Amino acid sequence: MIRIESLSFAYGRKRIIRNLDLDLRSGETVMITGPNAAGKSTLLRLMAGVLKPSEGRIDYGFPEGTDPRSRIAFLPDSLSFYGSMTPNEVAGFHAGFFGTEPSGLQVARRAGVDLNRRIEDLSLGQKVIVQLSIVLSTDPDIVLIDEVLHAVDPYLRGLMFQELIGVMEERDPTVVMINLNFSEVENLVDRVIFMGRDGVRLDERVDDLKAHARLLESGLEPVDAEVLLAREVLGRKQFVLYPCSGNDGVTTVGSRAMDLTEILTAFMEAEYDDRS
Amino acid sequence: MYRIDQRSSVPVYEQLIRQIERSILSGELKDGSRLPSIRELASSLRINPNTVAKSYRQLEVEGLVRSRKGLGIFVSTDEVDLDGSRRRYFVQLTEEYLRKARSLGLDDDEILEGLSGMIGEDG
Repeated sequence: MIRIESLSFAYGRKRIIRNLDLDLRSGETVMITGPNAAGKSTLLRLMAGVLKPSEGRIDYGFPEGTDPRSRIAFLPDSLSFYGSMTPNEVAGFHAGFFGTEPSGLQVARRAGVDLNRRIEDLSLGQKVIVQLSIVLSTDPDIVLIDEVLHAVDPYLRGLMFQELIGVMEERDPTVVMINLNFSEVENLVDRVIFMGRDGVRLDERVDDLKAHARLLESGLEPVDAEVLLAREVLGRKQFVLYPCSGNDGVTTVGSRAMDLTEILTAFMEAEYDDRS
Repeated sequence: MYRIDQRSSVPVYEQLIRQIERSILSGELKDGSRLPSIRELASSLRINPNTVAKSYRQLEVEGLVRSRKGLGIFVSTDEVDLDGSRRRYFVQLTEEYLRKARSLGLDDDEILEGLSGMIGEDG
């Protein structure tokens, strides 16, 4: 289990993460989402050990003396390092640095990347593939992936997901992904954490979340229900009910279940509504 | 082959179980045929491998499939009461139908009436 305790982080006087507590079960696949500037990438960098917390700590549950970074596969949102090296050189460098086997770069090869070309001359999507290929080949216990997949075309994204699913099946690592494209990972993640500007706004297992959110689009006013969001669509009132039991006859008449994209889009809207 | 309904409040592992059960009950998947490996099915549907594993475990408990070490998971219906499973599936379908009909605000008499009218037309 990964235990995050009273974690805070500030750039100078600007507080990005404030007193965050979070437990991640080992083998769990977690999506972190939320509006821009909520601190998602900062949290991931803290978990990857690339940034040091201002306060608080992260306990990875590794044996004493383990460098957590040797057990973590981290795909950051900035892929600019090692620009003048080739994928083959980076794989060797990475292996030396982390003390792991050199990567075979199979995914990158399957994606048609020239492994002897300088990384700075590759396309953004190819850079992502190379980096993912390298970090996933290290037999990680923890996989951290920032929101980088949008730069990759759908075919290559498919390859990357296949690769990730293969690692998940083989090693059952704890996976934390930042995602803004929800439908793509809807059935991959066990749990969703929505970070708003004021901290964690939602933290629930996907199955529970789907059971607890309903859309009332009958035009009726909700009775005895928690309303997350009220909106008007094509001149008709709509209510996103959350949390609700789903078995409650009063709230469910004329309402329907929602997919993850609809639910999280509603949370996003609610977050921006609160600000205006 | 299999499809996940994202809007359904039925958990994904259960949707998968129902679809595989259905293919077995309808004879589309015959006794002895191999199910896709966990990795194959997880990759092609882009779902969590643990979800597929959970569905397969449940199907094994129900006695509809059997895993053979190193070879894969196979449909195995010799020891199960297929008619019993068909009846249970029929009950599931009926419950689903009733739930949907009631959510339209119909009472039981109206539902029965509609149903017998349709069966009459059908036969």
